[in-house]
Amino acid sequence: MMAHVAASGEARGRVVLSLAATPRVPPLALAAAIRVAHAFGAEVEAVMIEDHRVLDAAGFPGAIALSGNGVDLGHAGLGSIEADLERAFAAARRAVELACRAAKVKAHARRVRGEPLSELASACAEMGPWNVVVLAESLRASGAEGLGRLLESVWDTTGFVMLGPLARRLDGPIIVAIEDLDRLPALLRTSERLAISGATEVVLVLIGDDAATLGWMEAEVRRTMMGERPREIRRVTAAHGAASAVIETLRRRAPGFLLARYGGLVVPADDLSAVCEGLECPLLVVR
Amino acid sequence: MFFRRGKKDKAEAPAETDADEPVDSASPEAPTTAEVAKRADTPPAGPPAVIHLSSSARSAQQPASGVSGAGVDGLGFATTADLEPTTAPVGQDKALEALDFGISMTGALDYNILVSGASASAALAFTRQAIAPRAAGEAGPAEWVLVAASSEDHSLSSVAVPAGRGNEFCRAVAAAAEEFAALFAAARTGDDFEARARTIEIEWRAGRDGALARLEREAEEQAIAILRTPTGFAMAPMHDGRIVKTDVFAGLPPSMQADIRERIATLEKRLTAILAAGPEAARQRRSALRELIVATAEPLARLVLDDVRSAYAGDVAATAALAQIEQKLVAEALVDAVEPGAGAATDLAGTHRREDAAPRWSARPPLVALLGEAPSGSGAPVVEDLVPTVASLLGRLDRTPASGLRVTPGSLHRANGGYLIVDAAALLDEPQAWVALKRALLSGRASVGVPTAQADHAEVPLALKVIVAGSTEACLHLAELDPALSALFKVEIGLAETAEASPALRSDLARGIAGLVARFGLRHLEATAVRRLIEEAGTWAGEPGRVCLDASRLADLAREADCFAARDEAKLIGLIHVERALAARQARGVAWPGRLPG
Repeated sequence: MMAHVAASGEARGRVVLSLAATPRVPPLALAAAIRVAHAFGAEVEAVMIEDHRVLDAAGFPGAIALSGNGVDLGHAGLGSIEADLERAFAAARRAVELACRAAKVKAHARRVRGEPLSELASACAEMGPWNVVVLAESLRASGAEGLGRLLESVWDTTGFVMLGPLARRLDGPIIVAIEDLDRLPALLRTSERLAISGATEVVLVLIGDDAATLGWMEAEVRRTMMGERPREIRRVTAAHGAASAVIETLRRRAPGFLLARYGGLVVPADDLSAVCEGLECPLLVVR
Repeated sequence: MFFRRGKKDKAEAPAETDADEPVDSASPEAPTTAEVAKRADTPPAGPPAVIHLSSSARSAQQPASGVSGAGVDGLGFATTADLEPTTAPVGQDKALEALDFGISMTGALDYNILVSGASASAALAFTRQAIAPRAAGEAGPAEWVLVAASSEDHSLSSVAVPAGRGNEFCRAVAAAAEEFAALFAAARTGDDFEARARTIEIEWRAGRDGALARLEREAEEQAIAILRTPTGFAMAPMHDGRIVKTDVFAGLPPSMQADIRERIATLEKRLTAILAAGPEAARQRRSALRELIVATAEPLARLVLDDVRSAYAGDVAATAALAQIEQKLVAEALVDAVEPGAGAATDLAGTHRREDAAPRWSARPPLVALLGEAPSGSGAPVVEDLVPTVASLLGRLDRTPASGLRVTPGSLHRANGGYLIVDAAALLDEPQAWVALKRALLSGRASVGVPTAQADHAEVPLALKVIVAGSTEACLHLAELDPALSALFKVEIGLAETAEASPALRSDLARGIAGLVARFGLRHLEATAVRRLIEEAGTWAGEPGRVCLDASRLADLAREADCFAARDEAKLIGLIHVERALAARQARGVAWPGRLPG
C-alpha cells in the first residue's frame, strides 16, 4: 500500500482522480482525493476519461442527443462535442487545481480518450502500482458488475476510493471493516495514516459469523498490533451473512472513511445496494 | 386648595398696596443687595408698573435665607414652599380645552395636534406642561417585540405584549428558542428522524438511478448505447461494443435501418420521460423532507413554549404572538434543514467539519428584541424629539447572524401609545424627517429603522398623538410647505400670549413658579422674588394690566436667579437674585424685554 511506500521512501505514490467527461467535479470525491494525498504525501493526478464512443456517435448521423433534463437536441446536439469536452476539461481542471492549491497538494490534470476502463488502467500503469484511484462517479446499486470489471481491469493500483449516492461526510473516525485477516497490516497502516491526517481515531470493526470466529480474529488483530498504539476494536456478528445489518452497524459509527476488502459482506461482488444505501463517507476498497 | 397655609397666611398678610413699582431692570450692572434696598426706597425710574403687587423692597432688605413671615409680601405666602405647586399651563384655558379634545380623538391618526405660540419655547413649554399630567393618568401602552424568524428569509414581525413585560417576554422566548434548538438538533440526529430522512433520500435516488439503470440494460440488449456527454446523454446503435459507422449503417437493409431508428426513438422517449421526471421527483423529495421536519419540529416548538404560554394565559396579544413565534421556530427549522445527501461541503485543506452532527441553525436561535420599554404603571409615554431626523424618528435595526437582532427604537416607537412632541422649526430644517413622520401617520405604521430594498425591516402599528409645537411663524411656514399638515394635524391650538393680570391668574402664576422649583431642582423663592418674576411677566406683556403667559421665559428667569442664589450660598431665591439675573441679562445684551426669535 501507499502507506508502506511512503514509509519506505521507494516512491511517493499518486492519487488518480478518475473524472467522467463532465465539467462538474463532485466536491466530496475531490476532498477524498486530497485527504488521501495529504495522508501519504502524494500528488493528485486528475484524469478525465473521454469515452471514445461519444465521439463515434457524433460521427453517426442516426445518433441523437438529449440534454440533462430530457430535452431532445437531435443529432445537432453532438455537433459541438469536441468543444463541449474541451470546456468540461477546462472547468474540471480549474476546480481540481484550485482545491489542491488551497490544500497545498500538488496536482496535475490531463484528458485521455478511449475505452474508459482501458484508459484508467493505462493511466495507473504509467506510474503503478503505487496508486490509489478515486472514482468521481458515484457508486450505484446496480453497479456491481461494473465494479467487478473495474477491479479486474485496473491492476496497477493499491485501492479504489468510491462514494455512494448518499455520501456526505469526511469527518469522523476511520473505520476498518475486517472480514478476514488478509492484508491486515497494510489496512492498519493505511487507516493510521488517514487518521493522523484527519486528526481522528481508528476503529477496527471485526465482522464474523459467530463469537468464536470473532474471538479468534480479535486475538490475531491484537497480535498484529502488538507494540503499536492501541485502537478501539468492535465486534459485529454477521448472522446469516446479512450485509444490510453489517452496513447499518458501520453507518451508525458515523465514519469519515471506511476501509474494506472487495468481495466480502461490506462490498459484495454481486450486490451493492446495501453499501449504496448505508455509505455516507468515502469507501477505500482493496482487493 | 392653592395654598397649603392659605388660611393662616391670609390672616397674617398685610394689605396689598399699589405703591410698589418694579425696579429698573434696564440697569446694565447687577445690583448688590444694598443697591436693591436703596432702589426700593427711591421712586422708580423704569417702565411703569403693569401689575400692582405688594412691596418688594422690604423683602429685598431681608437676608435671603431669612423667613420674612407668612404673608409678608401680600401674596399670602412667605416662600414657594408654602404653595401648592402646579405644573399646569397658566391662563391657557381655551388651549387646554382644545388639547383635551385632540387627546380624546383616540385612534385617529389624522387628529394630531399643532401648537403654535409666540415662540417655540412658549409652545413647547405649554405642551410639556399640559401633556405630562394627562399622560401620567393614562394606562401604559403595550410593548412591542420584534421577532426575526431567520437570517435567510428576512422576515421580521412585530408583536405587542403587555406593558412592562416586554423584557421578561423576550427572555422567556429566547430561552424557549434555545431549548428548541437543542431539542431539535437532538431529534434530527436521532435514529427515528435519520431513518425516515434516509428512506426519503434512498427512494428518490433509487427511483431515478434504478430507472436509468434498467433503461441502460434494455438499450444494451437492443444494441443501443446510452452514453453520457458533457451536457447530457447520447444514443447510438452499437455492434460488437463499438458505435456503428455511418457507411456500415448505410449498407444495412432499409428495414433494418428503420428498425434501429425506431428502437432509438422508443428508448429516447423513455429516457426523456425519466430525465423530465427529475425535477418533479426532486420536488416530491423536498416536500417529503419538509413534512418530516415539520412533523419533528412542531411538537418541540409547542413544548418549549408551553411555559411561556401559561405565563401569558388570558393575554390575547401575547398568546397570538406566541403562536406566531411557534410557527417561526418551525419555519426556522425548515429553512436551515440540511438535506441529507445534498452534497457535502468539505474543507478541502483536509480538515473537515461535521456535516450532520448538529444543524447549523442550533448556533443561532430565533432573534427576539424589545422595541423600547414601557414600564407598567408609568402612564402613557411622552417623548420629545426636538431635533427630528429620519433616524431619530425610525430608530435603527441591525441584524447579523453573529450578533443577532439589535434594535434602537426611534422616537415614534418610544412614543407609541402616548405622545410625541416635535419642534416645528426643526421639521422645517429637516424635510426628510417631516416626510418620514407624514408617511408613518398616513400609513398608520412606523418602520423600525430606515427601510431600504436590501435591509430587513419591520413595522409596528401606531397609536399615538403627535404634537408639533412651534412659533406661529414656523407652524405657518410648515403648513405652506405641505398642505398635508392640516390634514394630519386637525387640532390647531393657538396659545394666548398674554392674559389679564387678575388676582386669580397671579395666584396661578405663583403656583406655577412653585412648580418650577421641583421641576428644575431650584431653591424655593421668597414671595418678593415671586412677585418680581410676575412683574417681569407683566413687562413682557407690553400692555398694562396684562401678563405674559410664556412659562418658559419665567422658568428661565427663575433658573438664572437660582444661579445667583447659589453664588451667595443662599437657601432661598430672594428678590435680590431676581434683580441680579435681570441685570445680568441686560449686561449680556440679551434682547430683553423683547423676544428672541424662535
